[in-house]
Amino acid sequence: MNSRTSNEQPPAQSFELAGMIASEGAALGQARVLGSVMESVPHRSLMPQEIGPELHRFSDAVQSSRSQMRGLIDAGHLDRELAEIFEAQLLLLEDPMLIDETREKIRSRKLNAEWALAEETASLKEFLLKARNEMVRERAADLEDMSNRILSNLMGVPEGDIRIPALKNLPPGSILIAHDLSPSLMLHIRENCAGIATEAGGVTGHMAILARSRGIPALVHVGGLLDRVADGDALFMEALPDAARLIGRPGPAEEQRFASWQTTRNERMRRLREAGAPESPLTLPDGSHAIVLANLEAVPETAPVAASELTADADESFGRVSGVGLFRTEFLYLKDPTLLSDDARHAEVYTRLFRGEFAQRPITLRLLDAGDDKAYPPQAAVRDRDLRGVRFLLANPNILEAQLRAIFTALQASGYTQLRLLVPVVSRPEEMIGVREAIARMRESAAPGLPRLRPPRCSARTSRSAATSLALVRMTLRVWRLAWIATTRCRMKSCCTSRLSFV
Amino acid sequence: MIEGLLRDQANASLISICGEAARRRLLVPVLIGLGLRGFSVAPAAVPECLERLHELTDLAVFTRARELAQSVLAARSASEVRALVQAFDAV
Repeated sequence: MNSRTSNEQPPAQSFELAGMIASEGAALGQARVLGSVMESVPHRSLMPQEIGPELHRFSDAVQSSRSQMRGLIDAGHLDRELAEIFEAQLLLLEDPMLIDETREKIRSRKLNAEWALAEETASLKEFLLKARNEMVRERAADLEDMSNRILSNLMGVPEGDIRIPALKNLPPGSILIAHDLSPSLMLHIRENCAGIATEAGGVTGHMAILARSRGIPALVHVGGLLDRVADGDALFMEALPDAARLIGRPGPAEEQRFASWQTTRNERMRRLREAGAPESPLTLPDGSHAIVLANLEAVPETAPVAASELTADADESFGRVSGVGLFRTEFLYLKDPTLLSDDARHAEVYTRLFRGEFAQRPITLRLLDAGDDKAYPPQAAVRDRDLRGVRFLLANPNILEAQLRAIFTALQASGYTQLRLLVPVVSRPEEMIGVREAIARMRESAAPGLPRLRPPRCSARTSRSAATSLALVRMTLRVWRLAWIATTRCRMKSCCTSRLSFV
Repeated sequence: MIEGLLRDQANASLISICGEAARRRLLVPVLIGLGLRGFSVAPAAVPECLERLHELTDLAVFTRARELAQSVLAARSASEVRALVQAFDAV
């Protein structure tokens, strides 16, 4: 966490850094700088009598890493490519370069195992990255992955990334400062996070989606962020339409701006809680109904522990929407990759969703959407660009079937009837046929009494062929133009993805 | 054509809009004017979206939103659209 020593006084002058809004809002608080993995590794010198036990501890961590990876491979739930990557990483554990050199460092330089491993990883990585052969250079990522796994075992952080405990224990009013935040790190952020600013990242990335969904104000692309901001600095963050910036050492003017933002916000919340506050569906003057649905990434907690102001807002919102418009299931697996190999717990997650807050309203579940910029699978980006969405699922039938089995088991257990499934990024009719076959198989085995699926509505549309596609393209262009203007991404994906509804 | 498409999918399909809340706030009247009726947004953006739609249940505002959509479709440049959308909000 302490990437910079802040013993000295913070800089005397205030500073202002511009960024791009990823999630709207404002925050007043203290900077918590989340360093790189390297910067978070503890460093100490060993007493001579500690060397033996330290070598032991290191061997144990290597051994645990080895059996964890073996377990993942043997469970058979990894697709082939990922399994091969893991096999390759296992070989690294046998390689004298990494392991023996680390042991040597512990012995001769009396370094603690974490630091010795981190040093050795860094120098090996540098060596690999200098290689001419691209294949060799790519090994650097595997090396780092492997080394992070051993590190997390050494430090007793089962979740994987050794920075997770720091994220879970942020002091109240923290404004999180980082180069970038992976979705898997984002999932561990709790209430105390008042705002997020990153040097990299995009406004449509997964960090942005998660921040918006939790109502945490966030700025991305903040130039010079890590150079200017030190851990503990007082900060004012504005991510509002008329200002997207981070101000160091805020004065009375900033405090006042924050207060007025809070007042407006609280006023809005108060109106929302009043009886007669708008509620979906709303009837428009032409007699049509406008409906508002919520996008989710996680199953809403029924009894929020120490609900913060932000989660209270969200809970309030859930009562006023017509259902869940999009449940992005990949986040479930990102948070807990073992779900896919544990049918009982897997089904339990969906059962909680179907019995919970939205039990009486429609829910659209998007099947695991992998690939491209997606958060899943976490270890390795899907390298084949074409292997996205539905094509990833069809190429990994065990994943598709595990998910469908869990969903059907949950439908059976909960008696929930308003489910819609969204099949991601469909481009050819046979892909839908493949998914429907898998659905039929899983329904048969997991929930035999359940009514059949209604065919997707879009089948009527696809038969209208060229004219419609052209119209869709035009419409997409138009709306994208609007979207571009407003730097908002209007997701037209729903037009080209197919929905299935239950009768 | 656009209207036709939206009518076609009026019940089953929902276009979900992700984006910055404030900018989306500006976009809601245009989308309503175009005939869109389903909005799927992040929980934190729900109150604002509802409030915005509530304003549009007023006949005068609704009529203006339809006119806005037509002029946006006829607009030739991004800045023109931005101006139109902001002018709508300023009233």
